[in-house]
Amino acid sequence: MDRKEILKKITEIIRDVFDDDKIDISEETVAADVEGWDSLTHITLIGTIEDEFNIKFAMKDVVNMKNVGEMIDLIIKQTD
Amino acid sequence: MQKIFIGLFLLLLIFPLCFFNKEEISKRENRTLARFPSLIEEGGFNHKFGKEFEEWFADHFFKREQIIALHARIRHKINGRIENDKAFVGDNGWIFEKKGIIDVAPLSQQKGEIEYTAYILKRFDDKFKDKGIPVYLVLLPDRNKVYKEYWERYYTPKPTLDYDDEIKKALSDHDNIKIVSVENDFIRSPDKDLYFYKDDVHMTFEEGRFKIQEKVYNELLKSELKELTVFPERKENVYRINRSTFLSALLGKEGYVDKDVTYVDYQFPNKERYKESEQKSFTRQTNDEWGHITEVVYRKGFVTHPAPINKSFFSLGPCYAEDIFNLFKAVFKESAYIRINLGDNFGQDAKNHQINEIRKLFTLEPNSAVIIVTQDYFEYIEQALEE
Amino acid sequence: MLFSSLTFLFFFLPMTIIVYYTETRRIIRNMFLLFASVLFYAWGDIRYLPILFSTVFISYIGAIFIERSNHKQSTAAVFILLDLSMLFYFKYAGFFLENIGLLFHREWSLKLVLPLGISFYTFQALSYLIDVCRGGVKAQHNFFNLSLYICFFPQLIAGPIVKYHDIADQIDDRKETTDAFYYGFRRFIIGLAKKVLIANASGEIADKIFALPIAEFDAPIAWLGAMAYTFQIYYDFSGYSDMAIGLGALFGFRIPENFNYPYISKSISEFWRRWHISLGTWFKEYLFYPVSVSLMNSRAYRLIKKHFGKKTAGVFLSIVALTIVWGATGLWHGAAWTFIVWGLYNGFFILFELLTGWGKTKKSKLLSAIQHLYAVFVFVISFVIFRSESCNHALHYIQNMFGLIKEHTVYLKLPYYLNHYNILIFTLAFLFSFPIFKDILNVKNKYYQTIINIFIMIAFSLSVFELTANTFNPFIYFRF
Repeated sequence: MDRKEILKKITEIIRDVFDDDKIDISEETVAADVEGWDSLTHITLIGTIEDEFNIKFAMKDVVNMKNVGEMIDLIIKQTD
Repeated sequence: MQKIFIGLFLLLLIFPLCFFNKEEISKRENRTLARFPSLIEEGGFNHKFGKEFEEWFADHFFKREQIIALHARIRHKINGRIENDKAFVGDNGWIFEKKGIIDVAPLSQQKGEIEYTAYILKRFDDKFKDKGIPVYLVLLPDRNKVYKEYWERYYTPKPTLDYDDEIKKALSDHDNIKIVSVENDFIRSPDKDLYFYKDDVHMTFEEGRFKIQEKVYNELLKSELKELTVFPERKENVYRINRSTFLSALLGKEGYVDKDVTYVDYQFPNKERYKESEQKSFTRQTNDEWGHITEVVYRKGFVTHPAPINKSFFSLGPCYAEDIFNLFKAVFKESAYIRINLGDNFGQDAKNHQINEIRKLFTLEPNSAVIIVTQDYFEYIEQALEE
Repeated sequence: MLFSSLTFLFFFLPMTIIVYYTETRRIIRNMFLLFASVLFYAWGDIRYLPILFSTVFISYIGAIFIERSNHKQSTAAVFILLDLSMLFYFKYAGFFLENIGLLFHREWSLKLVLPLGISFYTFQALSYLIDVCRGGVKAQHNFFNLSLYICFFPQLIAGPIVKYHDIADQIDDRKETTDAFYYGFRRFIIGLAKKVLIANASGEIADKIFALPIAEFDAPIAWLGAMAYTFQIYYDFSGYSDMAIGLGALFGFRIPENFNYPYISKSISEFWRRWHISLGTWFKEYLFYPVSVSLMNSRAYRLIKKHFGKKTAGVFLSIVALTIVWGATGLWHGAAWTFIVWGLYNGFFILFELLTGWGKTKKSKLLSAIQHLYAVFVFVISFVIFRSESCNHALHYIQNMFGLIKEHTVYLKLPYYLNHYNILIFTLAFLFSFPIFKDILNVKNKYYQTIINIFIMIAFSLSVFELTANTFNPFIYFRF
């Protein structure tokens, strides 16, 4: 999968978890940009993404993820 | 610019190190200053070294006493009063003790004790009745009874005797001993806002008020208090409030000058002033025997103990027999007043002092009176009676 | 030793600064800082030192083993347990024993002395071990450097809890600049003034009121006590953190912020992003995330998701995770039920805000104000629980606040507790809880800087006066 596709999928997931179809996600998006993205929703998001892409994030990555771009990097690393 | 401030700050930090105070005692605080601790003590390494070092360092800090004085003055300016955690100095320059509301246990009212008290008082009275010197025993209200009247939920019915009644009964055959009971006046007082804590008159502003004393206090406030001056300090008596010590320590001055009054020690009435008052009549038409006596006493500024800052009550302080005696002799040629209240905490010296004070009473001239305001410590009287 | 003592200010600190800057080599500087930190800690009581060093030692060996191990998580678990067991023994064993004893109607007790700062430095040690286990950092092979991380005197006793990855680089690679020093000592003085002037004055009032029997004060006094404590704890704690950060800066360290004007929060969730930030983030990183992730992989969660849907599963996850994290947060603060209740109380409101969406910033100013009042209300009461001697005391105190205690004995009224000075302090405390002077130390204009510095020097002087005045201890014979 290429980055654009992954981004599209992530956007869908985020829209679903946050129940808001108007959210726009780019690679630079950080948690602070999305209203309601706190530790709990972060965890839910991580779980959903792990399920969708059939991967497992390492704990340090869960904790240190800075923006959506990094998330995509990590996904690519695991799906290759 | 940054460097200037950094330099200034570092200089400030090092400064006190260079000018260390080598004193060993503090006259103002009436104590020895902490000594430099040793690393090794008997039993090995002194693990309290750190704490003791800090105490030593703090006690010998550069210009410590001046800083304390400055600090007290700043607080004084802001608060309008001088204080620390133990006491404060009120508007009229008096020291007020700060104490918590203490729930003082009611008097023991066992039959045996009342009999003992009566016995002592009778023997005591024997020393006076032949000279025609009346002995007044002031009985103060029992807190429990006040509660019964005003806050019934706090009244605890106690299976003990009524102290007032019992003492009166026990002394009924000694009519030289006049019992002054303020209980009814107190209970009957229309002022519902009465608080009552201790069973003697040693009160501070936190502890409640007596309506009756308030009446007297107001009398005093009218003119006498502010113009009081003091007797020269009595060096042999170590048990006085040393107001000047406290103030000096706080303000950095020996003695404290306020509104043209110099307080060096106790406030006692002005020697000059009571010559005037000799002319004044001290008999008042009042049903309140206690009020009568206190008016007489307090009119002459006998209050020497902390009075409250809100001026709603005050207390009788200890007055030493000799001073009282002299005073009364000069003024009324009538009464002397003694208060006994030192407990065991203060050692045998203090006790002996009190016993001696009581003994001095035995030399009173006729045309005096003795007022006892205590419901405890009768053993001092007993010991004074032993010769 | 405390920062707010004359010995620290005028003996320990200048000596440390002088010796540090006399030496130019990084290695010696670090060793000296370590030496100073050990001295600082031992000053309080030297008997605690071996405990501190056991933790350092365990962590040192542990990280090296973890890095080499093929079963990182189990190895880490062993050493984490070792560090935690010391914390447990000295801080919680007594509490644990007492409560188990109660279950069996026995009176068991264990009285141990609590080593200073053990909660803080143990968490730092754990952060180190976990970071190595996760692979985020390399194990520190230099024992002195690791010791410095755990024992560094600015944050050894009361935080901020610095995670290893936040400071690891700075140990060997930092710059002691004039800017940093300049910032550091001013920040330090601000912290000192907060603690000595504001916190202590508020504390006097709070202490008096919390020591009273319940029947001896009424609602206005109860609120005064609660507000006084609310100010006390903030200025004490944030003041201490300021001092820690300032001291770190003096030696070229950047210690993360611990407080960000928590009293302007509009929700408890926001409050915990502004209050004791280092602890909140520690629990988030090292407890909340692992717990949540394991829960998500758990059978229970999958079952609930399957039968009741994602939303319900999410709620289940939140409840369990929050209970665990907030119970632990409460317990971390002290071995008593009041702290546990306090923690869960906070967790409850966070859960409430999560489920209802209450507290999130909205456009309406009125709503924001209401939210702010709500948050103030909740955290003031939380501090009553925190401060009370027992859950019983807390309950009665809170009842008193709402006028639910009808039977009062005689008591002193409100004006007794106040004087001009504490009213002034309260006013300042209220003002400074708003970020009106937030960037005051970063002002560039030289003229304003000088004015600010003059104020800072005045604050310093007043603090020193206050500390000196506390040594006044006359022997006055009052009773006679």
